[in-house]
Amino acid sequence: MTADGEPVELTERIAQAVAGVPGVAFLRPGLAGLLRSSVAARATGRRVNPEESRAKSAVRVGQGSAPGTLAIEVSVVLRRGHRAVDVTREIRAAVRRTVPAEAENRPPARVTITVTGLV
Amino acid sequence: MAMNADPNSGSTDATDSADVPGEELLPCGRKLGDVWRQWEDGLADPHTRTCPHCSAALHDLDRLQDVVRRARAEEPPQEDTGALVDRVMDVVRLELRPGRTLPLGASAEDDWIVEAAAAKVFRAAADSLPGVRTGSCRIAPAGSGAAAPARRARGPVAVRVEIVVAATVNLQRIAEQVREEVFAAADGLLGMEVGSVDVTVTDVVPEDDLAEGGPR
Repeated sequence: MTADGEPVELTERIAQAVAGVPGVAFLRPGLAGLLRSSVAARATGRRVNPEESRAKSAVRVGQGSAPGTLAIEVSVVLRRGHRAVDVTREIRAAVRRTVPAEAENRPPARVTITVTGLV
Repeated sequence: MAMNADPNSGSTDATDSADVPGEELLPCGRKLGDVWRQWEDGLADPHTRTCPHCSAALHDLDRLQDVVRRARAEEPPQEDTGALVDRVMDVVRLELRPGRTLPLGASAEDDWIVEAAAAKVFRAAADSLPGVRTGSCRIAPAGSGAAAPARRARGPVAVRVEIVVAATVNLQRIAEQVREEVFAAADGLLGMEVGSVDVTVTDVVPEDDLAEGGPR
């Protein structure tokens, strides 16, 4: 489970759907988070799961403002040569296609897309 | 028209403000982005050399660069691999110093882009003009004011770009061309609504000096 109580599988499914959208280079790599975790791990002696850290950084699933709704935040790095807003709209559509199967009884999720880089 | 005594002071990205929200702090209190930049610039101070947190962060930077170099070596030759290291490291820097989060698309949408990524696109658009070298580029949500921009405000943004120009160009015409390039890039490459583009010529230099600055 994530900190917000959603199954980790949903986060992973969303991440896979987003990564498959043309124009997406990769999910926000969370390199800063990885480095911070690495530094913290050295200080405390605990191991950090890099995949878990990456998924948390790029896809966040939480509770929406209305009861029973989901709020999904996706952070991505896009490829140059694709119009950014066209890609983010495709990402939203891909996320929405992914979520209903996972949460059939919920109202539509709020999906927020943030472009964190272009390569 | 503002004139800048030090043209190099303008040659920065949007992310060079003193305090950027979301910057990563090491346990010792140093900013990770600052530690990396100082190291790359060869300016590491005694603290950085002795602090275990800074040392660990720099070790990770070395590992990251090694990984990128190996990835570049393994890429198919037909790919544009020449600048891959720079591009990946750009992504890392953007993540450390993203700047503000700005609206993409129409007002009713919920799509966003970090200031540093958009500013890079605008700077490249302006740099495509002959006789222009682009310095800083700041982008603010329209109507927010520079002092305390609202977090995640929708609406057309205000772009401020600084340029150094060759002495041979017409200042008014080149400023207008820069505006046109920025508007075109905002619409064609990003899909970002831009309300205004303010262009400041910070210096006028001989054409040869401009070429020496090289592409960035």
